[in-house]
Amino acid sequence: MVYTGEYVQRRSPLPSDFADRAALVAHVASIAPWLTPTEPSPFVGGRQAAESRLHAIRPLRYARTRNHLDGAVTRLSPYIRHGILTLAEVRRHAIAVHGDPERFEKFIQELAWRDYWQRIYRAHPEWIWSSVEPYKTGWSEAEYAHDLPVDVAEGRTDSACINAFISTLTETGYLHNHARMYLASYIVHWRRVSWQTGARWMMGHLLDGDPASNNLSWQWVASTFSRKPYIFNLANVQKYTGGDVDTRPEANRSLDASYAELSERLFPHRTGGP
Amino acid sequence: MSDTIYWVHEDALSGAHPALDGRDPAAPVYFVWDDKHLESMAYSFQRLVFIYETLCEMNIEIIRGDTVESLIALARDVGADTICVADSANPAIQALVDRLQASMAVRVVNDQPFVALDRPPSLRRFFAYWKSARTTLMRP
Repeated sequence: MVYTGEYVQRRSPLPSDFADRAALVAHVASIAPWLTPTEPSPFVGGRQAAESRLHAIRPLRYARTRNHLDGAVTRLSPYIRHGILTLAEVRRHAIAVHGDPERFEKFIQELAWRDYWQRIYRAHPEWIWSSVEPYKTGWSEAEYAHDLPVDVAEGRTDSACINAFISTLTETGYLHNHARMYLASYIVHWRRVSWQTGARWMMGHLLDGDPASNNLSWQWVASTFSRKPYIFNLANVQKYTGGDVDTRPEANRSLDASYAELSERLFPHRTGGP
Repeated sequence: MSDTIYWVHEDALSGAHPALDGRDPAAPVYFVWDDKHLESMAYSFQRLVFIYETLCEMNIEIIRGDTVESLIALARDVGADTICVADSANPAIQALVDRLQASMAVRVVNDQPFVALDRPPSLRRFFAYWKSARTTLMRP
């Protein structure tokens, strides 16, 4: 449909008052005909929900536990991504309520990461979809696939914990940062799929997906925006996940090895450096 | 009658943004539900629900249509000659602003910076940026 000025003038605004969330979701389905409707995310939009989460942050515990999948992460990212909260506001709140930021530098630093990515977005928009540097994996850019494997898209890979992360991502629109890194590393390094392919797929599921934060983090994992590829192993996943994720070796064979073994297996042509 | 209308896009869903803060309360504020734009951004259904929920709390008008055509028509309706909008790093939003500017005056307003730095930092690696930002950010 082509919307002319005259058409707009005759139109009334879309509704903004709904009996419940289901009614709102049904309305969004009616105005997003290019998408297949799904269950809504557990994250509820709006300033009220954002403020509730802001008041629940625990920056000191965050600084200690953020790498654990059940750690005290804030889950503010969808609200920050869409400008519902600003980084400055979150920092001011954290300092006003929790005191001297020297006690939670890691928390402030994580806010700074988002600012850093946004600065890059403005200064170097060409870095968002093109490799900033060559891969340091021993594989050339041309050796990475451009199609996402079907088993990855469907969460049916050979690794139970990877499947669990995929399922959380696709069902909730959110994933802990550490799990995002595991998933990105698995896709780029275990499956040798281009970071752009993986980044596009992940951003298509994330509520907080931002081209700068998302893609440059994928490039960091891939080694096109870092000194070396980021890899992990099953022992690391076991260390940082709670009991909800299946990390048994027999269900995660491809991850169950030392870093040296994995490095040799994944990057057989790589030279120079561990 | 207002000489300015306000356009809210999905990168700045806040009435506290300097683009909206302090406006005449009677001035019209619009979000344009632009199918083509939203589809091109590849937002998930869940994300569109999240955005819509946020809009519902903002007390603004949600109009469905092409962003540029709709805003120009809406401005004409109320006799406005200027569109005020929050800045965005997203090239797709910037392209919409450019298209609007071909027909109307557009005021693009930046948010307060997270950290003001004397010199642009090196962006090649995070820790070069952090080194120049840390002192300001860690001040209580």
